[in-house]
Amino acid sequence: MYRKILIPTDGSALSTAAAHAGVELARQCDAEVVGVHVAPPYQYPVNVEIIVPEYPSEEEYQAAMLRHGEEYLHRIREEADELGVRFSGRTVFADGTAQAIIHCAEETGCDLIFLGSHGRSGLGQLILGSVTNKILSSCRIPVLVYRAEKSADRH
Amino acid sequence: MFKHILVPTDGSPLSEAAISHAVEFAKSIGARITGVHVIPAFHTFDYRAEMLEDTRQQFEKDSRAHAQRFLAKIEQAAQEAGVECSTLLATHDHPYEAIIETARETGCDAIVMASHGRKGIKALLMGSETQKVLTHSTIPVLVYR
Repeated sequence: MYRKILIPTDGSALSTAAAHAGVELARQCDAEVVGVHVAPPYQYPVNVEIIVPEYPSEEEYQAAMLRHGEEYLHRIREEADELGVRFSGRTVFADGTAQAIIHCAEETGCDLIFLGSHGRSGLGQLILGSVTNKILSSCRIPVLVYRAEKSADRH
Repeated sequence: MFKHILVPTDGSPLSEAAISHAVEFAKSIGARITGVHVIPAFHTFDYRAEMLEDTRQQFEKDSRAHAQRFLAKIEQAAQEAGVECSTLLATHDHPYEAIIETARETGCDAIVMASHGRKGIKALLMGSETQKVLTHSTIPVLVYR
């Protein structure tokens, strides 16, 4: 029924565990997966008097973030390959993570967003992760919220 | 991955749409479904208890009949799609608790429910019971809009 499933990842253990389950579901549905990592945009150091010499340039920052994104997406790609699920991944730069994820789903024609209940924030503090919460509030397509068990946190 | 999906319904038009979606989803992955409807407990004041007995019985009878109509819709949708289905009624003041308990007791591995129910979309970003189920569920919840 679902033909294209969007799986966002922030690289956290919970996010990765959810992605694993998402790829499994894609196989069960015979769907393809679009992976996305949203990185914050480059921050110009405008408010400091002295710019630290090691502060990355925009190119350096973007290159680094793209590398990280690729690393996170690669984990999903590997699982997809193993299960014979078609996969494409991308890293986007945006301030509003939830909005960027929804936009990506719309752009790529996904009919389901599969994501973890929490990501980087971990299971302890929040009832529901902030990005998941925001996506649920404004998303027009179905959203599957996956709960990883606490023991999934392998870090 | 999912073999047994719980489909809670409060009888609202939005939950009806979620039912169709859940049935279609179940069919596509060869899963079975359990439909559940939660009716509130009958609250009584401690006044003229003998009179209240009739009221309670009437309330329960009416509630059950009402609920059976909702559940029958799930059964019908499932039957038409060739999806194995069972339905049950639960009584609880907090629907989300009954929903989660039912999922556990019947061995469901996912819940499919509408983002909003009876009270509609008007003010809330997401319905209160759906929010609570999301908060407390240990199994995946698919939120349908």
